[in-house]
Amino acid sequence: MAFLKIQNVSIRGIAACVPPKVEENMQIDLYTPDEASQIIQSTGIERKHIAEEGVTASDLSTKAAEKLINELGWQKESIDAIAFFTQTSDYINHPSVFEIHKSLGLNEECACYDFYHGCPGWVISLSAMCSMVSGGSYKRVLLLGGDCISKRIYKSYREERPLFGDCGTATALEFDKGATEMCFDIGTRSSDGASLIRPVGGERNPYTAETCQREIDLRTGKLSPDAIGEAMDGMSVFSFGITVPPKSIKR
Amino acid sequence: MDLNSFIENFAEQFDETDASEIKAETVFKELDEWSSLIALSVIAMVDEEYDITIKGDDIRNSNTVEDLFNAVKSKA
Repeated sequence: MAFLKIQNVSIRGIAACVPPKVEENMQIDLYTPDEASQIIQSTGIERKHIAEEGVTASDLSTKAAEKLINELGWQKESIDAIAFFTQTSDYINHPSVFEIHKSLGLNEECACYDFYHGCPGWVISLSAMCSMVSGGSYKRVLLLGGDCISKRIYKSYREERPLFGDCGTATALEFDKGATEMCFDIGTRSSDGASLIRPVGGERNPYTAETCQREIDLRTGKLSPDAIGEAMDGMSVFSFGITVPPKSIKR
Repeated sequence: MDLNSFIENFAEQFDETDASEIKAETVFKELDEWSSLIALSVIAMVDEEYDITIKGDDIRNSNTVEDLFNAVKSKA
């Protein structure tokens, strides 16, 4: 069982950066005003911040990290490692954490880690980085992460459109003998992974001219994912969300 | 597990649809008020009342309320 108890690590601060542009859920033309109010009431999400074209999760996270480093008064040379978690990397074949390392102007003795996860990205990478700091070899670590997922969601998909906005974050971790113990209860429900999968575009099913065009049409909203049966299984994700995490918290 | 009380619990997820409109043979996706949000309430109700986890496919593969009842029952 992956139940981690971690000592000697303090979270010194957390910063987040969202882009200025906002999409109001009341204004999305996929819903009637009644439907939109109902969605807002059930989800609590009234609006999301949406990044401009070309702005990535690493950009937003870097901004958040700069603010955090300044406010903590950390010297950049004192950062032993950085990590970045995202589902929306800058490039296909290059870990975005290297771009962040460069933009932050960190030195070559600083280690870099990239994580690829979905919703639990922060928690999973936090557990990994805290485990490393706990031993005392790394004194200071910055954990960055977020997604610019608004470009990737399918514009005419009613189940996703009101939920996802763009954001980048930074969390400062420091070795600290007096720190309160942290506990992580980690599990993996890979058997239900198909509920969230995007089957085409990776190495398993590379894009063809036709599937690439289809992806573009889905992203711009010309094509609806319901029409081609390629949608996130929102009901199963919800069903997981209301049953598994509450039990974990009780543990 | 009792079909009638399941139907009652199912009907409670609707605000505007009268409970008398919902019977074992009702094709629930054809109800005017049916929506993906109601589907989520039904999943939550089944978890709460029966401690059984149903998934999207259980809803998708059921036509009538009784179909869904049987799907839930088969997991009990």
